[in-house]
Amino acid sequence: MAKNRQSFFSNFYPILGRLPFFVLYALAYPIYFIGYYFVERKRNVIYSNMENSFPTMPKNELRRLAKLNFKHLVYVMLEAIKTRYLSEKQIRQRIILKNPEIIEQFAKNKQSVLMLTAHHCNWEWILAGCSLQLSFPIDVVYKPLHDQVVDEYMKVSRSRFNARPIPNKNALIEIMKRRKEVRGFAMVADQSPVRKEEKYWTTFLNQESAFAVGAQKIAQLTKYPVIFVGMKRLSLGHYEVYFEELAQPPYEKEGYDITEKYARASEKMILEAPEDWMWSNRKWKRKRGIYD
Amino acid sequence: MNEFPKTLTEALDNNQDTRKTITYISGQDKERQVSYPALKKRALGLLHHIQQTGASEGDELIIHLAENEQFIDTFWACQYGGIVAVPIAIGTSDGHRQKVFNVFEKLENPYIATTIKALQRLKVYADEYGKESIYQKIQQNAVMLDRIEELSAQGQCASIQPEQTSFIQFSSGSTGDPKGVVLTHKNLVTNLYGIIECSAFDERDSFFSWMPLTHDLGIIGFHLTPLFVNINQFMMPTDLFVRRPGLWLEKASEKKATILSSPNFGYKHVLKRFKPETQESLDLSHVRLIFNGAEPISADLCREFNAVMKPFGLGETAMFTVYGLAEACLAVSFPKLAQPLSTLHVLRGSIAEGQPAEIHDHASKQTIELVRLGQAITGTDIAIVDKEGHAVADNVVGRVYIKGENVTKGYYHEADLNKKLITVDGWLDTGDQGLMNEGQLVITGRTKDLIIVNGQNYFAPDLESICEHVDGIELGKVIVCGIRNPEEAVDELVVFVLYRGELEDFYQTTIDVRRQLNEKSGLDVAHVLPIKKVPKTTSGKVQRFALADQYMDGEFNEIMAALTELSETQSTDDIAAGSSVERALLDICHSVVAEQKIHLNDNIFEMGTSSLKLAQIHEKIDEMYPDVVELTDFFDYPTIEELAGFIAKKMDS
Repeated sequence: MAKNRQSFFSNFYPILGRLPFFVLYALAYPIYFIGYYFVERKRNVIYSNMENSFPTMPKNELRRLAKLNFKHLVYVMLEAIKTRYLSEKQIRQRIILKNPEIIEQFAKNKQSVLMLTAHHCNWEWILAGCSLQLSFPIDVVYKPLHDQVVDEYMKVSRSRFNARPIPNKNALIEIMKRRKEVRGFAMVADQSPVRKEEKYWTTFLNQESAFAVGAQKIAQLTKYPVIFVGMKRLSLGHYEVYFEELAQPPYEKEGYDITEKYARASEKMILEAPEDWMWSNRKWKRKRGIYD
Repeated sequence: MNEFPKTLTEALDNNQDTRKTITYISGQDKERQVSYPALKKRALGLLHHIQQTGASEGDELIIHLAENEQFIDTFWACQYGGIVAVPIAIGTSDGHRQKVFNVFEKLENPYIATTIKALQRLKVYADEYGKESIYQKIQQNAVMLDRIEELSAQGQCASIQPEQTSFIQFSSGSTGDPKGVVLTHKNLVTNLYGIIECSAFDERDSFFSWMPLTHDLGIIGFHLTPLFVNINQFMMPTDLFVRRPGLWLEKASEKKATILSSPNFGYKHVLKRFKPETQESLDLSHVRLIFNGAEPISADLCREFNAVMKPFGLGETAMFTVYGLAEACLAVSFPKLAQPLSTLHVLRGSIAEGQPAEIHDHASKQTIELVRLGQAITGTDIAIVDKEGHAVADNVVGRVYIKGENVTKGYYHEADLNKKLITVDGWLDTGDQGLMNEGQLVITGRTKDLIIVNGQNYFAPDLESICEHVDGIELGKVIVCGIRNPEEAVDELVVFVLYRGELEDFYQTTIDVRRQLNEKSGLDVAHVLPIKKVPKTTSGKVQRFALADQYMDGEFNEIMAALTELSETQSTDDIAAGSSVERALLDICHSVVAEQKIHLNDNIFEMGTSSLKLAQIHEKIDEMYPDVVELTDFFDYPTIEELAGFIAKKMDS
């Protein structure tokens, strides 16, 4: 039943997506204002996550950062809705690839890659930008949303430029099915894993944090190189995407070295622009169990 | 015994040295250490959570946990709270889950310590077998260890008395009507004293074990013993040993462990996969004793193991062949220290109750080699008696009786059985047959319908009732025996089925029986053989030994050859049917996928396998059969049956 849930607002996504940017950004402020000041729970999650990550930061600075973060999240949400209707020209203008040669070298050698990113800046636009501007198609591993209408809407957005979204549950199977093609497999890997799944614990943003190990396992099994895909906000609605090589095979059969490298690369990116990470994510809701 | 602790809790209370630890090894480079003082703290923290569910002193807590660390913490939480610990193995077959339900129903006021995954498996079983109402109770009384995030609050300690029950050891194979051996603190402390004194353990020793903690050799021999001596102990999970047997010796070498142990089958498992050329750094010169017990011991295998490990420094006198049983807590007899393997050759036909065994100087086709198992350890008495209970002379075969403060006062809630097995003057009938030779105990066989395979006890009638579910087989027309295979040096499971038709038509029955037993009990069947008549005593009791003797005498060789020929004409899939590879793959899939029951012909991709689970399945298969299966092979051989056939074929080639 939960999977079929849909919100009233989700029906308006196609309308919102067709609005020009200036109208969308104009809508952003009231949404932010209502959301930040009236949705206390979300605000508190952001503030408390930031407080634990930056224990020495003065309270007024934390509040400023939390507000800015909330505002950016609203921008990202509206930009994500817009993705489906972005023209190629808009994408090239708004999403600049800084060093594509880092990842293109693998494609030249007919080698598929795993691309790991985080919920930083506009992760939906990373996919659009890369799918359009890289020489190989990209499949994004995604977690299906409870709201079926939104899920379908986002799937169309994520399918542009030969991309094929893969539900996270079937990721490995789907990746293996496409093993004879040269593709990039993109995963957003900074969310908290579910309780009963294997996880890797490390200190991340000053807090003991659990990371899902799916990407590590997929890399070990497929023996694909792993690239970190970072993003910087240049100005409102304009971003720069950069690539960093995280690991190359042969990989150890045991251990979580790739997950650790991913955590460090993500942390570095977040610390450079903390207002752009998704602090509303309840990454630390679950503490490390005695036997984890 | 003045300064020796009187209870288990007293022993742990005495261990204040934080440098003495338990090391839990979970992989090549994965381990965690817990000191003895930290163990006590954790146990008390866990006790708080257990008491929060309503359990109190005198209640029972089923320990249904796969992780050693969780198991040990829970075991000690029970000890401090005066809660009776009831270990039950997780396992992967329906038999294991049936046992949890049966034991839960049998106990007076049971609780259960488990994990989300294990509870899920119980639910799957309950749904399938209509045991939802018991499952509801289990769920209500469950303490979920993987949900516990902190242990800061301490539970209420009970004042533990030596006569109080510490734990109940339910026989491993008693699925139908489980029999629980009740062990008090006094029982355990007495046996531990005897074990420690007769093995001369001291502060220079350290223990390394892969034995399951649900087995007495694991929990008593290799956890409580080093804890009572206050020395270091190392544990690796049994399933890791099964997948990577070499890691046992590699890690023991790395940790410079001095005391190891394994039942017979473990040595065989190690030798099967051991590659001396890849073991340059293996050093077993620190090993003082390797206990060999828990199932019949093969002298040939001991010698082979010693010979293979000699270049790596294993001493000739390290192999320590012992006798024991759960009813004695653990140990009954040990040989003298620093003695080489000691055996005798006995004329096969002379081994009969009440008769003197004919001992020969040399081995011949008519003799079997039996291992001397030493003398009774401190605190235990052994007697070899005839049917009337009278002591017999040396070398005369009789029933093995034991007595002592370590011996259980009886099985849980089994007054009639206890009267039958325990005499008025306190002697317990072990069910084993043996003789005394040169002052040492020698076990010659068994008198009760107990089969020991891979160190685990199974009751023949339980296994027979499992076979009953195969089409065309009726109860009373199938006989299951555990028969020693002298070449393989292990006890094999042989199933005899009353059948009077053509052998070609019987072939399908052999496959069905193997599958049924494999799926329900996790056991591999060596042979399924047709018989024309079920041998019975005048009182109508099935004579398993008569069939075993016929088998040993080669009376079934022709039939076996014909069945082998038939199997060779079948496809690879059928050859693998009921094989150990199939079993191993099923175990692996069950250990990863808890949500549903898995069958041999299920598609791996359709069994609710997420990416992570698929990766874990591959990882475990790769540990067990290194570099045999690529992930892409899953696409070509998507069912367990097909993949097992592929692996078997690749291993053969």
